[in-house]
Amino acid sequence: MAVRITDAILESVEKPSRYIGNEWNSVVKEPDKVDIRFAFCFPDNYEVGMSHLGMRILYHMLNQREDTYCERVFAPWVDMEQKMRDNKIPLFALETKDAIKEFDIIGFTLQYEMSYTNIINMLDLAGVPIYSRDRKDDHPIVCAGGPCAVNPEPLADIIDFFVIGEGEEVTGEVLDAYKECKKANVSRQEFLNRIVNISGIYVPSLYTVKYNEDGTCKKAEPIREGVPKSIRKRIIKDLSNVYYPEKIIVPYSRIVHDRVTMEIFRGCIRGCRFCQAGYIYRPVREKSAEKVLEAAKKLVESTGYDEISLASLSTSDYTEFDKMSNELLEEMESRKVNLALPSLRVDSFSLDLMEKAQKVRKSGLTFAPEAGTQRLRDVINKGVTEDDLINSVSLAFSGGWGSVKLYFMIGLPTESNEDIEGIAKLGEKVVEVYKNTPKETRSRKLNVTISASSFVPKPFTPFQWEPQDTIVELRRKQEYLRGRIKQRNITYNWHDTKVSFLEAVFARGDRRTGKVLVKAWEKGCKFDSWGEHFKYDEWIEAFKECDCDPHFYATRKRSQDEEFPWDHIDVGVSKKYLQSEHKKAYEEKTTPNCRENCSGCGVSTFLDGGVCIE
Amino acid sequence: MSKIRIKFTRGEEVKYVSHLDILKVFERAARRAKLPLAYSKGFNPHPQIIFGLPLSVGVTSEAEFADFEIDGAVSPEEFNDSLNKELPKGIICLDAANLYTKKNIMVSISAASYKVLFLCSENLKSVQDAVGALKKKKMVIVKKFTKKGERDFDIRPLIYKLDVFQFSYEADGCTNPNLVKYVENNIDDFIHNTDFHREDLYCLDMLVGAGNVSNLKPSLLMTALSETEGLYLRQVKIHRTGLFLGDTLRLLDPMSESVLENI
Repeated sequence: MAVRITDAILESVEKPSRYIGNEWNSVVKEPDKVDIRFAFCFPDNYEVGMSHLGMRILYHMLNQREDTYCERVFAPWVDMEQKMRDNKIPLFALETKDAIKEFDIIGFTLQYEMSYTNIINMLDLAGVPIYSRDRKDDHPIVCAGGPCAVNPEPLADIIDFFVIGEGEEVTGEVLDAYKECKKANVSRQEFLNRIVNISGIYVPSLYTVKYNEDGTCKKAEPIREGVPKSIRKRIIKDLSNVYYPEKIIVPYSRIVHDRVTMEIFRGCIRGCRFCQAGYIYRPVREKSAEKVLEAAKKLVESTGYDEISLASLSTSDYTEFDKMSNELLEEMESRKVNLALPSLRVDSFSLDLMEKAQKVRKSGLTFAPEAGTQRLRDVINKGVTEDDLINSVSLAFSGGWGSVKLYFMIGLPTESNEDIEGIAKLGEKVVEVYKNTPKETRSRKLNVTISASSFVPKPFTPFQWEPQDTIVELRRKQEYLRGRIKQRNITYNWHDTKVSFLEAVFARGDRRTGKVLVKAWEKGCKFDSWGEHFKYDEWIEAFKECDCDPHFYATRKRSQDEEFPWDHIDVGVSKKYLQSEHKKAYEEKTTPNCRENCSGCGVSTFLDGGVCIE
Repeated sequence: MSKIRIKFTRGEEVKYVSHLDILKVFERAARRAKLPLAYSKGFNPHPQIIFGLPLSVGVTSEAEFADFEIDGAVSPEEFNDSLNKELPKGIICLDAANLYTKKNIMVSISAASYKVLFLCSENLKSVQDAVGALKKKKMVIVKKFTKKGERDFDIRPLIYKLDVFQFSYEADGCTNPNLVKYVENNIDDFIHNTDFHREDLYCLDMLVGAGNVSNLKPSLLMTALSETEGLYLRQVKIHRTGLFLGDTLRLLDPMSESVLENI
């Protein structure tokens, strides 16, 4: 049954077009003519969720199946949530406005830890019990996937099953199994029993976790024979021939990434030691230039968008990048479509390309040196030098750009005051380069932004053993940096250290932290990644009431032989390799990128022949 | 370089889409339809499309207008048909014509007509009397909230026509099937938990001044009716039925030949 959202409600909330659906290219089906109704939930608001590439791919891919109707669900903004609760309107899907409680499967994508309370809130708003164990056979199955699923443990009591790795193939296998189970009218438990042997599927209720006296975990154990001891992530081997949508939804109102997004490769050859994506998405796999061009053309035609952006972890690492981007540029120019090139590396900045891509619209350029000194950049294996940055900005300034953003992290392992001062010095050098650029060629105004986030140690990185700096220490470092930045044309931005602290807790959290999530939600925590809704005091109360010490997760240095809550998840990169990378970090030794030399991280076993890069 | 003027609807499906977002809807639809739009020169070329009077969020319309600058050969009929294939539900292009005048639609609008549905517990006679009393006034002062703060505003000169009827629930009894359908689907939401009944629904037909210089929003007129005549009412729906050029003595349809060809 469709819920009734009256005009009086819609007229009383901010941006009502978030809740009306009917956008161009949204999929219309007859719900009673399909076997499976799937609610794809993004635990944040419409503008953020609609910008997410993974959702765009899976939504259209699932709807290719005649037996399935996949609909979209976003977290209603707080004003709408209030109206829904006041009027007893349950959470509904945008396409049919049907309550998702009646759906077969509810799937969440886990993009960042600070969205977890929204998952709880959405389940509650839907009228679905929060804990898996409380759900009955007539409740939907609740699943989750996405990058944060590599450590699924904080949500282990809430989610019925997780998809580990890339979803294109495995989701279909699960839906096939579900359809059979539904026909045979088996229990939800039996369905979970049946899918547990599909590679990439993790059913947390089929594992037990015991703890050591010091509070650390023992490895999660299957509760019975036949349940795999370790869950290996799924990957798509051939990215050129995997499904990519020819149409994507065109929202009415402005969303965060309001353009066509064209994926060009997955994985990254670089191995920056702080970067979780760099490890969990290995091995690097490219979409052929031919396919990129073909898909880009179709998407531009089917949407009418006037901008297209390339998506990958490091755009310029695409082989034959120049050839591909030039062809794409030519094609897009004839259609008056703008090409955006995010994630360019400092060492590969091509003025020629940027000129062509951005035409005369010289929006800001962003570079990410990540650390202030060469020593620390070697520790994190960033692999770019000061010269790379200086060359790039000098090219940019003489090309007429006047706005440069520099991204750094504070709180990296081995960091000293000298490294932090290095950030300020680097900023000064950039200003110096501008001043040395002839007045005739440079832009009239200079604007250098130094943006410093706080380092959050993540699972499956060489820094997974590392403590996060305490909030006090991070604040001290932020202040120290602020004191060192003396140039007036440098703007300094920093992140809320309290948010980073909680991220660190849940990134490496175990099952016990799940109770804290629920407790914090009970205290009103939601939309935690939105500054205006972040309630730190309530979070701290929640930890206390659950008798859970957040510092145990965030700021504790782990011993090399500690079992981690995520050790039964296998992303392909071996723990041994991460240990050796951890050691090399402290020795300030860099590791070459995957194209220069294979370092034997272990992920090549995913590929036929065991070679990632020919 | 030539120009085409279109007339289009904004139905229930898109009534919460803002004026600026509707502009984007047309830009994208025209790109999908591969229509030869003219682009502005300069740093950031964009198609040259000009819309008539903005429509407030939540209001539907059966008479919206837009002028497109064209760079290529396309007949108004082709333009109309290809656009309709690419427009989302709720927006229908009703008519298209070549435009020869330099005056764009936005600067030419002088009046707009609306049907406003509202609930009121008084009987028809009392409601008609209240409307009649408002019309007899020389001045009708309302408070208008602007960026500069609150100020008094005489809306009487902008009220050209004002008539009230009891709403008829049968399609035959009303010239506007959009409204009949809307009422059938939604009236219960409005009378739920109130003292109103279905028979308390009235329709106010109005023709008011509109455009860049002086514009009267129908909701403001409703406030005036309620406040100056002491009529307790609940607004249900606003629907725009027409936009006009010219002056009060001689209002013109934006698609009429004399308007399109007035050089």
